Amino acid sequence: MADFRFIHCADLHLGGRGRGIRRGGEGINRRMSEAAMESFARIVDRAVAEDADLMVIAGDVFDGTNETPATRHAFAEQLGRLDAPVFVCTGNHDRRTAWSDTIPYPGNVHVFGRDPQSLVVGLRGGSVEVIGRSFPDDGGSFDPLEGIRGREGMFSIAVLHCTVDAAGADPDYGPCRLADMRNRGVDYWAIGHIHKRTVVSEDPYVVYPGSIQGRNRKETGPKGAYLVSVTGDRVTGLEFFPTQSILWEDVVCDIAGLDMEGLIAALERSIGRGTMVNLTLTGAGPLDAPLRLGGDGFIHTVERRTGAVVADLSLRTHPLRDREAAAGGRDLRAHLIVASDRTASSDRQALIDTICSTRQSAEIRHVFEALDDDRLRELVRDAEAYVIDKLTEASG
Amino acid sequence: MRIRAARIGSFGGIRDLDLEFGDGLTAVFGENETGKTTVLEFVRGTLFPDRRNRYPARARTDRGELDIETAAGERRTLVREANKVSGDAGLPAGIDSDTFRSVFAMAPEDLRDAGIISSGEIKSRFLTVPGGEALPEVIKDVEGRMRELLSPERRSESTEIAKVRKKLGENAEALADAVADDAGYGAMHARLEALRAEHAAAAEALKANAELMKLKGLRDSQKENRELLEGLREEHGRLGESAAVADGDPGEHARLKALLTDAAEARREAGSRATGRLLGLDPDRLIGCAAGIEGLGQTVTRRSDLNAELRRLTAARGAADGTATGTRARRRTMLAAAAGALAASVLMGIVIEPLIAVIGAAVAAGIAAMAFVGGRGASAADDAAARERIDRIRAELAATDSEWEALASALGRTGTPEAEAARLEDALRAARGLRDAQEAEEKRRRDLDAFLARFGSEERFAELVGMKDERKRLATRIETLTASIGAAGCADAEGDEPEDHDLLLGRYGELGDAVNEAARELRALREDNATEKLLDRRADLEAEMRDLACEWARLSLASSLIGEACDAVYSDLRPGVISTADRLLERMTDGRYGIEMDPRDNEIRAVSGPSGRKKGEWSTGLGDQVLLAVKLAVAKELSGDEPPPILLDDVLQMFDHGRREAACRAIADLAEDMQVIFFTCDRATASMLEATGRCKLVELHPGIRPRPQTI
Repeated sequence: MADFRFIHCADLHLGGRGRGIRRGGEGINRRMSEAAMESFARIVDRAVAEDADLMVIAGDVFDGTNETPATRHAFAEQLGRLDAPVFVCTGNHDRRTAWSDTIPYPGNVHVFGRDPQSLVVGLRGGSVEVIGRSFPDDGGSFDPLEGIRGREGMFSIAVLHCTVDAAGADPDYGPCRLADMRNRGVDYWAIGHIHKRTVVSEDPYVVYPGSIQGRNRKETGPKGAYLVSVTGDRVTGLEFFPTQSILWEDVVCDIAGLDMEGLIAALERSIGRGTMVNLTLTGAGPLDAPLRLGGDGFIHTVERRTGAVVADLSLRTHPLRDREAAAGGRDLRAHLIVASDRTASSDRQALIDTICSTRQSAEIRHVFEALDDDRLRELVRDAEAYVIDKLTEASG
Repeated sequence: MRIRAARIGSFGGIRDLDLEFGDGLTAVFGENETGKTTVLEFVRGTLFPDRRNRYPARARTDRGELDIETAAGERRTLVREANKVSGDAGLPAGIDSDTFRSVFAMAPEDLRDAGIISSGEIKSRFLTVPGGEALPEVIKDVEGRMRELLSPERRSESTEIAKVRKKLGENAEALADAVADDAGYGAMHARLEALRAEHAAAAEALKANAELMKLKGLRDSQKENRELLEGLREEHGRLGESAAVADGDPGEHARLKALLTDAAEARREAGSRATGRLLGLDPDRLIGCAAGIEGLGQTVTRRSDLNAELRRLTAARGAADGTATGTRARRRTMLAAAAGALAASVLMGIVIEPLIAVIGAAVAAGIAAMAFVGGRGASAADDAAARERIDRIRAELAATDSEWEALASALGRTGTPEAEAARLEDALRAARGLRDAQEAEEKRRRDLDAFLARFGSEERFAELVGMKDERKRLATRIETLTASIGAAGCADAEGDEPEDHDLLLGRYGELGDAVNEAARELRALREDNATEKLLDRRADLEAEMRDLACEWARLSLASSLIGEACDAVYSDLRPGVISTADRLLERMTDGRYGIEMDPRDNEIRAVSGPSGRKKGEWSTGLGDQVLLAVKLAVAKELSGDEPPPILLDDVLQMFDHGRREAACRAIADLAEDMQVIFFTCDRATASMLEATGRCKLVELHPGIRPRPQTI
């Protein structure tokens, strides 16, 4: 019966730049990449400080084409600070490169191949089994659970990059079902792929530790890894510890009844210094027009006054306090609102077709295809409010 | 509001003119210079007092009255004195003097003034969709910005999105190069490893070569020694046959030779010792009789004993009662004899034959025993026994005599055994000693000869021994020399020739440089953040592209929403003016043309079937019709519930005949809703108006007070 502790992390995306972060000044994307490496270094710090018995990394160590030899070197260097064994499986963002073989990992690191493999680690008091397999390089479909079975009589950890019950993003990637994960002799499924930290199940344990550093507006809140304690072959502790360098936050503020100064003051109170903020403004009022038509001045002022970086500004505001009532009218504005509702509720492809109305716009269609539905509908609302603001402004 | 009558006292050139107007259409016909324009001006100026100088020139004497009737039926009179008008015309708000002139009191030049419907309040109030006044401007802004961002149809390099796209393309190329360089990392690393191996091999080769060089040096330095060694070896080989002499042989030879010498010496000594003792006898003969001689001692002793015993017995018989003293004396004597016999036999035994000692001891023991036995006293039996014994003794004695005689004759001696025994024994010893020494010497000689037989001869042996010693010396020298050559470190006479050391050194240096160079390149590739910078830039550019594309999308959607809304609102809420104008134009063109307005640009179009033409695309005639229709419609719309009269001053002048007729019909239609007073100097027009059947004709005669004629 073993007593031990191990670190579970995944989705490091080392080398990954930010996505869609335009604001934040020069080098913000570089900063994102450095932040991921710093976060991993902190995870290693914790492993050393806690004298963890082993570490498992469940895939997406790198970030696709954002990997360079320097990235791999830095990762290997960090791994070299650990004495304990490290078990790694690869994910859909890891790929073989020309320098993979010439920059080897230190001897305590084992990377699982595409066939399932089971290794037994001797610890004080007993042994632990670590099973794993890597996502196949050719990207073909595969059943992640195939061949994964834990040994009797010892604690078994499985390391996989997969999607359980189509949770979250990508149902086509390594799909498997929670029901199939039971009764396989695995006590702790250390998995990766979903960037939002989630404990899918506690019997057996099926855990997504989430990514280690937020990189876009959807990855908010503290990011880090889990320190798992096992006593007598049972999980007795699951402690999350944050390691991010840059914290993303969602901040929502209503503009109703506020003037510009009032709005900025309210934001000063609710935004922490040094954070990356997804700022969403809601409500209706006369601030809509200056916010929407006023260019980057507002963002720069907010950043200067709050000391944070506004990575994304979402205007869910509207010029009209009573949009419903206005929609019932018979003037142009009413018809604009009706047209906006209709367009926003059309299906995704029709919406994108509406946007790409000119011949040359086919060249930027890919940008819209990559946006999610919410973002697309937001564009429609933006357009509606923009026209209303402009009409109001022009008519003086 | 309608004008019932006008009474002009003095205005312009008119004096005392009374006119009555109809409820609907009134045609005021007067030749040129009959004052029709003056009348129009009077009406207009009274309804809309206006200081601006127009025709006719104002005078202080101007005076007149207008009888008006409101829509509600109330009658009022407006009195005009000079420029002042008293009374409330009850005109609707929003109609000012300019508007009235442009729309309600049109002269031909006013008709063609399209300004009022292209811009200004009239347009925005009545010729635009409600809420859409600013729309054309907004649309212009939207489309302008869209074009800045992205060209609509043809590819352009100057739009913002095109520029970013170009930068992305350049970045992708540079990144591909950088990634290819990174991809070369593996190959570069392999090359470095290969170079390192070659470098290490070159170092080994250098070391080995240095060794070879050292060995060669040693070899060269030891050349002389080598040659000497060769010579020694050769000689050593030549002395090979001396190997027949084993190491121990000389010693053996010497030993054997020494033994021989000793043996010879012993023989000589034995010979000299034997001198005088041989009694002149041949040693061999003496030795031949050795048995006899040896037995002599014993015989002598025996005889002695026997004799003694004889005497004793004789004596004993003679002295029958032996006294105790005599017994004791006899015993003593016998014991002494026994002891003496024992001693003699022992001595004999030592000198001649041990057996003698044994026998003698036994005899002595016998005598001793008898000493005790015989002493008790003689008896008759004893006497008989004694007698027998005496006989036996005598016999034995006789035997010994004969034995002796035989021996003596063989040896040529005379005398008694007692006398001869010792001499003969000694002679025998001497003979034996001599013969033994001789034999020993012979044996030694034989041994030596046997030894030398291996070598042939003594000389040969000596020669070989000499050679062997020489060979041994040579071997020692060889060993020493070999050791010294070996100690010098160069055991082989032959060895590999070293290569050109400088060449190898040069190659080693080159490889070292190549290794350093390759390692530097590899490190630079690893640390070079060109790829990193390009990746950063790519992320930045992609974000910029996303921003620009989304801005464009917003504008594109705005355009789409506007279009959709315009279509909807237009069909829902077509401005009344347009409807009215549409009807009027249809009437004017006998159904050929209608009027539409596109809220997107708020431009009026004359539409015939699916095609529509807007201002600038109309023929002059159509244009006049359109404008007339629109203005009349605007007038109607502006009026609301209290329409002022429409005063038209020969606006159909430029219409051709057909159009004029149709226009008159349309005007007559309009006049059913509001009062229209048409001033014309053209009789034909007046007739056309009359011909509509809904027109009151008023004629103006120069200087004549006109009588109104009612139709």
